Amino acid sequence: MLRQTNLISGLAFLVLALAFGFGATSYRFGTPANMGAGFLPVSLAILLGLLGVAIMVQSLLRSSDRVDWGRFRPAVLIIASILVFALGMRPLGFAAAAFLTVLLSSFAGPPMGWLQRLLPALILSATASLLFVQLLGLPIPLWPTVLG
Amino acid sequence: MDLLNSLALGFSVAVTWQNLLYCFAGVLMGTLIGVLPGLGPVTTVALLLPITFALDPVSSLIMLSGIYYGAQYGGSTTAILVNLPGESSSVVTAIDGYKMARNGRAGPALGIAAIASFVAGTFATIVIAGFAPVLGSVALRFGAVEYFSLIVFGLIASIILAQGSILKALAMVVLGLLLGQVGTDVTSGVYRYTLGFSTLADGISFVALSMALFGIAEVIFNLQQGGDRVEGVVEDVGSVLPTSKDLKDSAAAIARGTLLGSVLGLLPGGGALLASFAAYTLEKKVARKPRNFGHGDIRGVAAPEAANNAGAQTSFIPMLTLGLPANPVMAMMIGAMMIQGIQPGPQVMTTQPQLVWGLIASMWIGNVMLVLLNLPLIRIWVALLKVRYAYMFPAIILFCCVGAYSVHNSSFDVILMAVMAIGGFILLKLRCEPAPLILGFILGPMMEENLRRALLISRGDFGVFLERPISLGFLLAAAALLAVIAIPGVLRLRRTAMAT
Repeated sequence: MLRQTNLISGLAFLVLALAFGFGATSYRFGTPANMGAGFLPVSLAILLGLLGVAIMVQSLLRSSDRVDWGRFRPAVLIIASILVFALGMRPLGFAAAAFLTVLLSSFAGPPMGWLQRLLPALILSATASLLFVQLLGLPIPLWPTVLG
Repeated sequence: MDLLNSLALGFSVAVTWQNLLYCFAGVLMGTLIGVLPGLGPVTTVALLLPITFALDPVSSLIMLSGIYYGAQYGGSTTAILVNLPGESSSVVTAIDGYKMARNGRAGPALGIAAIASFVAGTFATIVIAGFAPVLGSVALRFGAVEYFSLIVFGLIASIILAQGSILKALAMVVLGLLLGQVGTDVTSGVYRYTLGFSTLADGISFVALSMALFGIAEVIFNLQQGGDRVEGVVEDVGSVLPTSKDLKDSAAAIARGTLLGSVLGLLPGGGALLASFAAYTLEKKVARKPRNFGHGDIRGVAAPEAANNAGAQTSFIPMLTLGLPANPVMAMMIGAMMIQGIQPGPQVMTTQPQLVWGLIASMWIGNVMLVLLNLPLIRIWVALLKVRYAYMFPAIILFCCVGAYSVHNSSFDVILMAVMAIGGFILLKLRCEPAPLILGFILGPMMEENLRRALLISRGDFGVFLERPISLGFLLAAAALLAVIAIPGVLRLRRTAMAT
């Protein structure tokens, strides 16, 4: 029963509501005629909390699908490859960061030979460098900062 | 005469070399990405959004809408040739379209889809041109009270499209509103939920959020499902020209689909999905031999294709005249406008006539380009259908990273995108649809602003929302919608519609 999608989502909404609600307690609430920064956040958090509870109650009355979290490997590799892009951009420059991101993320997919991973990574990072940095002129450093 | 002048202005803006080029590029790229199996219009628009940042506002919106209907048409091609609709709006097309393709009539199916889309697009453009100014001038008289109620109505309407539980969809709307609260409070200058990050003072990056939900989270979800190569592609297309019998058979269906789609696209929460389902159901009802449906009846392709294109296009009306997005793609249009420094709302019609009318004119031009482009290039699209997902998804990841980075040139936004993608993935697994969340996020600040002003004028009296007739009307409509969705019969219809 603890694996039912509706029960977990209800709980998740309730937790989020509490987080947003308590986060807003330091903002001035004000009055309806003179709403403070906390007026809407607190009201919305209460509404979200009520909806969360209602979803949980509903899930007790009627069973819903069981959640299947699946394999974690794709999620971990994809998130890691995004972080490589974010953190690699400054020191490495766009071309290298893009190459590493594509290469690392490809491991989230089906097994392939090294050439099948390296070649697309090379092509994609070259194309993206050309498109975004040269053609569209986004102000992104293309090469490692040490060289520039 | 006023309308003609406006249209003339629109064409003078749209028919410059520069804008024709961007329109063409948008249609081409939209189709290119939209054809790829599993990538629907929402993802396509999200992925290509950053390309338009460098352009001026008019060109960027022209290109984005080109991308949108290009992707819409690309999705239909996929639906017909592989029975793998990229988005729910082409689900119905796949039923009879793929059967036709299997029976060796892929060409005529694609041809009639193009013709139906073109007819519907032309009609919808006229509807927009005629209707937008009227609605725009009405909306100009709306005060904060009316606007707040309209937003509430729009948000409630958006959950019609969500799959699964209504309560969950509502909760997603509220969560979106709350995420929209992150950043500086405009009246008091207080930083809300910034957790000490100065980058969050401007709020959560819209691009990072939409890429996290519609790009990254989807990729992770798809990778878990496995499946790398697309099976059952019909490669033998043959001549795309429908026979005169085909045309005669589908003429009435196209007309009905166009009308139905144009009306349904106007409603918030409506748009392409509802339109195509309704059109298919209507054709089955009025047909003399309904038994042919599901076995490759050309009307089953013509009507929904006309309806979804008409609906996709008339859904621009609430976006342009009210600043109210009817679906996630329109939410992205509004996001793009704000990035370009244009505050969406009824004033856009009067302050930016060259933008509005240029966009309307370009829609028709884009529809012409679609027909001219798609039929000759069909072999290329067929080749694209065979691209392995293993090569596709790293490109999606890279595009999302560049997109999130490019808005503020900040790595923080990319990390934020990764964090939100984890959240989005969990929500997908819990069967919570991201579409209502993105609408809530876009409308959140607008809602707060109008609520604050309305209550300031009424000195804190909430009764004002019920006293003003227009506002009361919107609220009653919202309540009626909620009641209607909750009725068992409608629930069943929704479920069967979503199940297919």
